Amino acid sequence: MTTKTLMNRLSVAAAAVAAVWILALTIIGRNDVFSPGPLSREHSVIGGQCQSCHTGAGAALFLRNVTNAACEKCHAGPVHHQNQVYEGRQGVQPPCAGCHLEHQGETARPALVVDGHCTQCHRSLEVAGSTTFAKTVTSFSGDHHPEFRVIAERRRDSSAIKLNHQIHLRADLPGPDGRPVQMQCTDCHRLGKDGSTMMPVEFERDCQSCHSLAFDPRSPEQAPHEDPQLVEAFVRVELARLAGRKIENRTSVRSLAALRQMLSDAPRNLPETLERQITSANRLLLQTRCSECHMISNLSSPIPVVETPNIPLQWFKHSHFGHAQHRMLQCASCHADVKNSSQTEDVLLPGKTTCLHCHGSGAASADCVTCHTYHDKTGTIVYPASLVPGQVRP
Amino acid sequence: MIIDSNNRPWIWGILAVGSGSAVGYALYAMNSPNGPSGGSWPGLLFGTVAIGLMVFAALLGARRKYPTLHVGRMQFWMRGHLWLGLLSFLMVLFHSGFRVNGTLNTVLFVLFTLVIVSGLVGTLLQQILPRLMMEQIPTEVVFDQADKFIDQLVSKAQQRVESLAPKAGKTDTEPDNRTYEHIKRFYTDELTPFLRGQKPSRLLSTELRSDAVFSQLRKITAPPAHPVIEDLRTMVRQRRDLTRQMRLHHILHNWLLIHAPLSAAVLVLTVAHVVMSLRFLSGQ
Repeated sequence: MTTKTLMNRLSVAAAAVAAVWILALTIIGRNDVFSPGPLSREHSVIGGQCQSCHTGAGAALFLRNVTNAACEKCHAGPVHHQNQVYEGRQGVQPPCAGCHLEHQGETARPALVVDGHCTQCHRSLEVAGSTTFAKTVTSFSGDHHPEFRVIAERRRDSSAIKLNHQIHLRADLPGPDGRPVQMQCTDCHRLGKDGSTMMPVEFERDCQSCHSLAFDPRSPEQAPHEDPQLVEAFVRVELARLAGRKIENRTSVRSLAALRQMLSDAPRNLPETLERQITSANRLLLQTRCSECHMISNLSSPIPVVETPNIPLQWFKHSHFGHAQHRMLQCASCHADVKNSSQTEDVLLPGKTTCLHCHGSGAASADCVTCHTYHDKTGTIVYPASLVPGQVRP
Repeated sequence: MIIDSNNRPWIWGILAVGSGSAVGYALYAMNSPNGPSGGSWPGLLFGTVAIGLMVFAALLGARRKYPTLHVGRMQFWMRGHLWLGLLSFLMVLFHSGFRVNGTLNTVLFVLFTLVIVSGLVGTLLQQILPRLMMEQIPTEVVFDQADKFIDQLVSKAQQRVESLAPKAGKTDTEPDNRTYEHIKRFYTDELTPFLRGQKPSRLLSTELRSDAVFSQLRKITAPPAHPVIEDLRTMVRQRRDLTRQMRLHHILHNWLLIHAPLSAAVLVLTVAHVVMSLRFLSGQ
């Protein structure tokens, strides 16, 4: 057999083997072989069911691209901003598959969108109407990203609360038993279950061991950390009980409901001496205990007004910060001025420069999605029909 | 195909197209947030060009089958096959964005790479081996007539050996008889199997040993037989040259046994790749 004959026969055989392989895979439904790459772990449950996501109308069997509707079967993708402009149209955003890439391997995460998708608009922001957002953002480093607004505008903390970090972090601070203690940040600031945000400071858990609300040496009870009306009712009930009055429906439960019940059940029009005692104890409590931390107005009235503290839970409105991811750092590494802060108004957040130590040196990610979330998920979640009661098909 | 100055326009052509495409690819890659992808319109463009070039390269086989067709000279098709086939690999790289994912795509890319590598090896061999053959093999034989040439050698050797057979009626033939028997036996036991290539001969396969063998033959035979021995020696050398020529010929052509079948498989798999890709176009 000549080389040419052998070559021709081998060529026919190789083409036949390739064709049979493709046909066999098609017949047994091994679509994964034709896939341009493995799905991410999050989507691996879809397996080789291409048509689950590739629902585009296309032409005949072709051009079945991934549609937004297919993604929205499981994912809510609220619009970024109502006044955003994309491809010249207001309130329109790119198709899901335009930013969220699939078939990039098991370890790839489609949610981690690369910066280019954000900066295609934010490098020269165009919106319908006016905006307060920076108009030229190209990356986090250098001058390509503005300073955090709270730092740039030197904002002050307007919370109606009196807190002196300097005193609380003093080495000779008297503890609950009078002996000096060195408080740690984590004594009051605790991570929420999401591992990202700090939980609000709670009086009973974080403050009461030192800041007692005791109002009468005869009573082991402390006043509740509630509205002045409820505090007054509690003090009234307790002092009346100490004076030998029988109290109906008295309960030891300190729930808000029980305290509200107490508001209606508290004895009124008591003897003048007892009423004076109640007024005096209540006023003393407010003047010496409550006003240590709270802003109280109209202190001479029977029920003064305690201003709602309104402590912001989150300072950065358009980004998220994961404290858990930064647990290898000391709190003071970022919140450097805490030990010297004596004013509640002091905003003790770090500026962009602090973040850049790691997030600008390559030591940590500096992608847009590290801190920002594109989809506005503050609105109501639109659940798919399958998750809405009464709309589930049998 | 020898790469000579006639290939210069092709080389400049693919350098120009390749450079232009590389610039286009770089611009497109830099401006694609997710990086280059075969499903984007520039990716599809590179893919389409690559397929066009691959199909053109594959048509060389058809062109060879119909040499009388008036569709350009064979040299044009050969050069196109080489240079456009090479350019198609660059286009495939630009199409894929230098990344290969998925089973079919990986198989396709590996096979196509083997096609290109085997083609380059073949081209390189074609630059070296013909020159080597000209230098090392003074009596080159038309490859398809090798068997005929061997038959001729055997026949000629037999004639020369038989020319030494003692003539009838001649007196004092004892030395002639002994010479003839030596040479006849040598012809039967060593020379014919060697010339026919029936068994590897340790005695005749190298020039050094062969010279020693023929010197020994001269020593034990009468002087009138020496011209015949010299002829036999020349025939052995020609046969050795033919063996070397055939070995080089196989090296020169056997790469096609890899190149052509893999090319056929690549074409089939490319069709599958195109069909499946267009079916589930990513739309990015």
